[in-house]
Amino acid sequence: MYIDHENCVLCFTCFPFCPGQAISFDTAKNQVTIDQALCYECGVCINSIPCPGHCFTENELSHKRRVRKFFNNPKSTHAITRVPGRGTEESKTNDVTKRISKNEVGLCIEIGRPIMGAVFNDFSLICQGLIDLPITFEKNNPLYELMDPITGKFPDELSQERLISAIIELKVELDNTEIVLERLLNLSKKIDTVFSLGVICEYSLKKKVMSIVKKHGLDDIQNAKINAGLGKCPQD
Amino acid sequence: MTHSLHRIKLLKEDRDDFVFLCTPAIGVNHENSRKTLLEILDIILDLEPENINFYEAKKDMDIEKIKQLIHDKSRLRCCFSDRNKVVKLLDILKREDFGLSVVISGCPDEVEQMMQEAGIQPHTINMACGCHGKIENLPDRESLSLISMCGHGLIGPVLVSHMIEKVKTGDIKAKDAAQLIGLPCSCGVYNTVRAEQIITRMVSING
Repeated sequence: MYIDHENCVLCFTCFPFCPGQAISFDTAKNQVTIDQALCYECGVCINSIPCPGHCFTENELSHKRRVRKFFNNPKSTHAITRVPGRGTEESKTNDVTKRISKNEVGLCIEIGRPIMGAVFNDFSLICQGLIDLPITFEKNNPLYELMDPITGKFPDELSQERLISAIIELKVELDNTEIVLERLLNLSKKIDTVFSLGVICEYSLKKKVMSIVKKHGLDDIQNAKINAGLGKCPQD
Repeated sequence: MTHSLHRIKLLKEDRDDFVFLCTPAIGVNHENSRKTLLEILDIILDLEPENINFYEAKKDMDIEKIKQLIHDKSRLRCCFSDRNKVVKLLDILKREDFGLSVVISGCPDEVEQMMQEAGIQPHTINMACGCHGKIENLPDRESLSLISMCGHGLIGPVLVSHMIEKVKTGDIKAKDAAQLIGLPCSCGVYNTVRAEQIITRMVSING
């Protein structure tokens, strides 16, 4: 993102709105400026800030900046999943897709949430740390497209690219859930940011899965997304 | 995007917060879903949710223009504070049998009860199992309860503290602060009513 300095009236309204805290005042140049290293390309400045001069603009993006945009700007259509809103369906359509079926547990590991953000090295740490376990990564996931499926590593050129958050999606047979959770919680001690964990299952499996998460002290579940089972395949 | 899963709730009254999501399954039933999405949207608008927004919307765009931009892969997202409205919505959707997937995000006991009242047997659950890693670097829980209402993490702690300060100094009211903090949220799951309650609480507790 860039600022059109001709139209900027130096009201500084924009400063607190930037989730990356990338906007500041350059006293030497007497201009409002955007720190490109901190800028998430999330589009809040263009889409949401009440800027009187409509100063924010987006120039043509390099590959690395486009990666930032696709993951951080919910108004962009993801180049990989071709859906807006940062992509993934997870449990939202499970009644139709059956991605997580009767004897399986899904994990969605949202790295960087809340608010701390993440770089691709953080995703490498988690994926490389889990890759030897009996898990299946969700292929229709924008992170998976960038990940080496053998090593779990992400490209070196992206290692420091900054994301607000992104979700690693995987599933595991019910019987293997414990070992995956144990490994994941061990990895949480090494990661340099935070992640929020979602555990997905069909409703019939809920009690069994609850007993597993309880063993790891994860049963203080304040919120859940419950799929009402109203979706249908066209052939139904 | 588990963008409505990890909402941090501190007090009992925070439980009056429900996110509605209707999502065509890409490659399965998304084709020709535009008409259905628009029908469901009209039902939602009649119920007057606390907030609703669309990835397709541009700044200050009115609803009729937005409707023209809705397409087969669009998603409907909104939030309610009134559980009765959600039960009514579920009841209508079950009866009309539109065939698109519906998810309600909220306190699991509440949502389960609401689905039961609407005669719905839940299919899948996604449970928020906490935050892990460098949690000691996170802002305070009150700020997080506001920040976590934006599904895509676009509300930062600086925006929250800036607006709280303006309420404390009397520059703006809590209701205005709630609206301003919610400006970056483009998916409509930020609950402005709940935000106002949280802000009022933060200002009265912290002076």
